[in-house]
Amino acid sequence: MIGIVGWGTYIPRYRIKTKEIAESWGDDPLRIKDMYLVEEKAVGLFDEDTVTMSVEAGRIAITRAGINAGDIGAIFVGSESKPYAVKPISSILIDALGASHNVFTADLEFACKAGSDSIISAMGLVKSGMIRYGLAIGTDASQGEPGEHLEYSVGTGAAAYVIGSENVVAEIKTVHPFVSDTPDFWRREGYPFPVHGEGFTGEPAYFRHVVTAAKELMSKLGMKPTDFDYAIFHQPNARFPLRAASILGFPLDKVKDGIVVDKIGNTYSAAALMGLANVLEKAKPGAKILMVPFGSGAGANAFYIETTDLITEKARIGKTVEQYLAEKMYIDYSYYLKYRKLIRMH
Amino acid sequence: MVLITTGVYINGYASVPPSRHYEKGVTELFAESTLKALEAAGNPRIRMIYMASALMELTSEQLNAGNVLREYIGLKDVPTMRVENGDGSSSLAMLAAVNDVKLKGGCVMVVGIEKPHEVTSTKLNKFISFSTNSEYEAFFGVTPAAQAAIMAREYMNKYEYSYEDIAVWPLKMHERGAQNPNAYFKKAVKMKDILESELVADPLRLYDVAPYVDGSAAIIVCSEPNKRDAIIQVSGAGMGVGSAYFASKQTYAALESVKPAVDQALAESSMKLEDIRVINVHDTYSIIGLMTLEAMGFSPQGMAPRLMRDGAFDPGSKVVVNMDGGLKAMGFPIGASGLYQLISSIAQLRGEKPFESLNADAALVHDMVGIDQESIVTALRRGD
Amino acid sequence: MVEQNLSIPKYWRRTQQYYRLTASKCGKCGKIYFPPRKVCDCGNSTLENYELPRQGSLVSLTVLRSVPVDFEKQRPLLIGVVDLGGVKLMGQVVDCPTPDALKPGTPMEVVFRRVKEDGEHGIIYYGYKFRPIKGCES
Repeated sequence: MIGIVGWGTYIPRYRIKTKEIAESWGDDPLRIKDMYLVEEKAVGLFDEDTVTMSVEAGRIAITRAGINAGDIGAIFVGSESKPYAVKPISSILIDALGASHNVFTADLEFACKAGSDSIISAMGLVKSGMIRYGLAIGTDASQGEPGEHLEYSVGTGAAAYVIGSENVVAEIKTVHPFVSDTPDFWRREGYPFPVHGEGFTGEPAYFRHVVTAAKELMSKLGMKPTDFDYAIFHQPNARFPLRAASILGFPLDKVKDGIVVDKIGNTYSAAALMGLANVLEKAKPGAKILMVPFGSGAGANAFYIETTDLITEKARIGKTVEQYLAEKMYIDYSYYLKYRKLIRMH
Repeated sequence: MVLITTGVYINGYASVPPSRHYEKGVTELFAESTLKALEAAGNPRIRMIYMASALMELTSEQLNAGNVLREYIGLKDVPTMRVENGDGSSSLAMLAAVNDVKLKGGCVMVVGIEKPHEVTSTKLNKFISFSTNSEYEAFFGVTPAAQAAIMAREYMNKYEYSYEDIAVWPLKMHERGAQNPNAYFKKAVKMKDILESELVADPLRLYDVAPYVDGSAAIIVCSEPNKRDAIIQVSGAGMGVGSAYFASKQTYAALESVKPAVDQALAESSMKLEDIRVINVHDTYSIIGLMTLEAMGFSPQGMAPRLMRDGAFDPGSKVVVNMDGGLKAMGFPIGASGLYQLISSIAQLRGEKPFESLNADAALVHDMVGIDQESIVTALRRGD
Repeated sequence: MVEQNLSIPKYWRRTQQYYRLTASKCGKCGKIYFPPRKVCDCGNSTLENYELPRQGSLVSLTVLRSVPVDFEKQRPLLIGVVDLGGVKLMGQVVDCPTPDALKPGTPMEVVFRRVKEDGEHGIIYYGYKFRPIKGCES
């Protein structure tokens, strides 16, 4: 049995309401809220980034897994907003977490799918017997161009998963990818903000890949939506996952625990993984979970996960997503801009 | 008090008025103080120069400054010992000079030199922060002001003082500065000005912080006096240490490095605290000035603000503190500050303008490194 | 190459301290030192590594407005003394722009944050900071 041994998340304390941003740009706050169903988003100020969040989430994951950092044989970090274009987060984690030097490490990029790609990479090394435990992290503090609609949804957060074959609390039974060359959203080398194709990000990108990956997975397993207790989708806003659920036939009550974007925004590589953490923190043993992270470019990984008897005890150890959601401090738009642009203020 | 001949005499001294001397570099400042001091001493042959500076290399980008400076004033074959000990550089240089003269006789020159205004204010803040623990304090943006602020907060909490109570220090210092034509800041201030001044590190405000000034001060120290009257001797010196990491201090409401330094200086001088009439303390921050009075033993713990307010250390009292206005009114030339305070003390013992009203024959000069990292106390005696 | 103002080796040597608060513990008398020490006050020079706990309490605090140039855009800095299991550290307190509710005894936790960077091109320094566990208003 290969799967999740422990998990940890990190969400910064600061929040800004989308209403606050809308008013600065003369957009109707109610219409914005209706479009995206994102009320507020988590913001990392000048001293938080994808490295710091990886460390915090990673530490909790290791504690929850009940392992020594020295037992980790691989560290993979997925992100599209690294502070260095060249210099890995995964190597900093060795020192920050106290892992051994004999670790397979790499940083991965596939837009918002990279956190899940890190999980899959770790699974392969565990399954082949090359490592005992792997640490897989999705972390993003992505860039939103001020005045552009991405700003309404781009959030900040990290989710870390310890993957192994001992003391598994949620078995990853199957993973099924669906990928194609679909340029819906990208960021050019050296350019500060991502650019996207607006409506093109919908049907040809998000929905095609998420729905196809999910359908192909269920078909391969001979399963239907009614067989699952939870469905978690990548969440660039709250509308997209709700619509994907509707297309696939999942009712709202199976989907709602997996959606956190309305409170923290789109955490990109951490997004679906954060939804998964929230679910794991509430699920009973034997819960069947469908998780479909998606990354622009584009591709989706459909996961079939089932919790074991060990899940309940693990949920209690370490900070939960709900606890993070409850810790918040609001900032206004000028404060937000000052600190989000700080990096460029030299 | 027993008069003891120690063999270390102050034969000449001079200082450049402290200010922002944009028009003078280290060479010009050095020349101004040293040439005047040498003339006052009768132009003796100098065997060695002890040069005190905290920031010379950082602000003026000159290593082995001694060579450049001595050549500028035409001195040949005089080695320079460059002494760096943060803002306690001067007293350490004086200590080295005193030991030298005691051993080898003749005359040496002690000179302090500092040019903080060579760089912008936030750059200077960075250099000053190097006086804290580089890897574990300055690394995070900690400055001596932050450390002094925490001491102020803890002191105020412990002894139940309001900010206005400890603001007595700048009030008193500027009263004195207003009477001192050599001061940098020559105006008296009102309590209202102090209370409304901008916050530096709460609770400390602008008036709690001694302003950085460019300066140079020189003292000629010899084994034979060149005068018959008002002979000033260095009778002793002492050193005490605190912690090189602020958070490790035993207490934040009192200074730890001062008392051992005072005790040693008095012992070497065969003097007691009661013999001291004049003290000059290193008031980089108002709270440091107040706490030094207590640490030296001139005030019971927690009483200094009250005693200051009641005029217990004003000119005319048994013990007078910082009659020149202290670093507060004289300005703070960092590594050169101790030399300025030594010169003030000498002038005070000799009853020179504007200290004519004083009648004192023993002084203690307190110099400090950072916030209570180290204290050096020098004892001066007047003999006829 | 563009000028680098921040030393890499000087920082890299201390990442055990900056990332994990690795202190020294005297093998003879048990005293714990942070920053680490080579020789204990008791005279023993065999000290072991010891990671400080990541939770503690606030001792004192000031809001520093006059900051060094490399922190200029981060001003004001909240500088505090925090007690971690009996060992006191001085550093930045974060996630609390108006610290009026913070007082001695407020529970604090260690967080891993960016400290500063060398312009747009140079190294980023990471290290420990402190924040109130229950949030700024508690």
